[in-house]
Amino acid sequence: MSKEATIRQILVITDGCSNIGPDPGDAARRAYGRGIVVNVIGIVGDGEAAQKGYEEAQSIADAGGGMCRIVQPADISATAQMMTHQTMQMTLQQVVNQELMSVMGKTTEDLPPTERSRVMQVVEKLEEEVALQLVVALDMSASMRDKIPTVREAVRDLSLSLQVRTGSLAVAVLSFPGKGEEMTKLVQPFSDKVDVAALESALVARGGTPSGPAIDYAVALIIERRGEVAEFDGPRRDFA
Amino acid sequence: MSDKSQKQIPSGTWIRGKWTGRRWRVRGCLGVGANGVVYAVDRDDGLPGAMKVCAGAGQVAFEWSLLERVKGARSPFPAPQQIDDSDHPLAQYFYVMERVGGKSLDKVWSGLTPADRQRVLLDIVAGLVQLHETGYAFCDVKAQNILVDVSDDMRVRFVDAGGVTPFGKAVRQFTPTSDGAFWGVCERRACAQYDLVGVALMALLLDVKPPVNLSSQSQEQRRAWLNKAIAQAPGARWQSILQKVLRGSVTDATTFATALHSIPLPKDPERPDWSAKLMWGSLASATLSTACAWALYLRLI
Repeated sequence: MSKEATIRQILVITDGCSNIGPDPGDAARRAYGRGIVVNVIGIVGDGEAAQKGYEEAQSIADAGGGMCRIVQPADISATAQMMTHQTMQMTLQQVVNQELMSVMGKTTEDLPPTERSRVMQVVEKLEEEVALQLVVALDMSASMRDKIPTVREAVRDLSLSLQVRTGSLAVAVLSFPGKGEEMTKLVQPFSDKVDVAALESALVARGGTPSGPAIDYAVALIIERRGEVAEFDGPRRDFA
Repeated sequence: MSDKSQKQIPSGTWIRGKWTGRRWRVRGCLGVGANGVVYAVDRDDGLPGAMKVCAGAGQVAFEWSLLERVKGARSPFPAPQQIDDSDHPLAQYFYVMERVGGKSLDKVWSGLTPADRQRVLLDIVAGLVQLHETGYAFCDVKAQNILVDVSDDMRVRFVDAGGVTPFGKAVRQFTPTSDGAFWGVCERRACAQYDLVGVALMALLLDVKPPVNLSSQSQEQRRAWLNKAIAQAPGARWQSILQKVLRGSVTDATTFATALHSIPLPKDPERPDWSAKLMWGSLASATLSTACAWALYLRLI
């Protein structure tokens, strides 16, 4: 595997239903089609609207090939880290499975369990070394107001986990909705760590929830960057 | 991915391993974790074990490889016994490990005497000394992952090897309250110091409850709270050890153990001794009845 091998992910943190712009499930499907996994953390609410929110969160993750978890605000931080880790592992396992299939005509499950352990050690090593591009998309609709400090700390905390990996990290943060009529706002462009000062000043809760446009924007950011880092996409369209 | 409401294998079920042909009888559920279920089982030859079942073959194989890497006669982790698959829909992929006795530290802590608490902490650090010799860190240090066998001289064992990580690599699995990076005390990278900070945080938070709004606090606020909490920890010597560990000046488990050893074991409060009471009671009643007998005999009453 080339050193430039990159895993691309979008993490959506939201507390409600999308109500502006295209369907977020479709947007997630488009992302996954381009080799980008979409994970969703839904923040617990109550009432009928919450139920709809959960269903939407799940459908975004399903369409985006990722995971969905509904959590209390206090658990966002640990959940974000766990999801990123598990979905990276899943993606790498798929890649390793494809390789096994093409070389040996077998999947990991076909191997005796003790040999699977060796495959998983390879996956573990890859997970540590592979480059990661992550766009964090933060729902900043009006209902998020009192959760901002928790979300801010969770994003900072996630970057603490990702920064210490051997593989390179590029993380961008966007919030939705943006200023005025804008659907989205770039909180920080791709960087090797989360800019806490930018997070402090940029997160303001207001307006509706354009989740679909936010995912589309995240995809655009990743594609733009892919062009920038010289086209080095492997035969498998990277880890898709 | 498992969820807590998932169906469990009924007790009495036999699980037959596809690859080894061995059979295990399920005795009951020991616990449901984030990535699987653990059952108490007995192997067909009577060997007791704990069976971990995960949804994916990968996770099972991965945890198995971790147990294999840290095993050894004095390993604080359960010894791995067997990895296998079965046709049972609730145990497609599993491994079996040594069944460790005891209760989790969070359940027993409040009932322990100060001396017992110190013994337990020493044993935890001694377990880390063993583990660190293999070049791995525990990482997911938390009271729920540490079992204390009160009936076996407070013997301490670690469970859930899922967070075990080679030194120098990024920590994959942790619990925020025992995670030094969460508190702004150290990096989230596997090393001896990371585990020691974890033990110090865990021990401190067993005595002093953290604020409810912890997750929305900045690292500066969290650190400030820590400093205040250390001042509430029992004993000046212990406070100074906590301070040293949380400031990052204790970087290996042996140093931590030596520091803990230097605290004189607190005297356990005197337990009321029922046998002494019984003795005095019987003596008193014997004297009384003798006196009454003499009094009756001498016609004094």
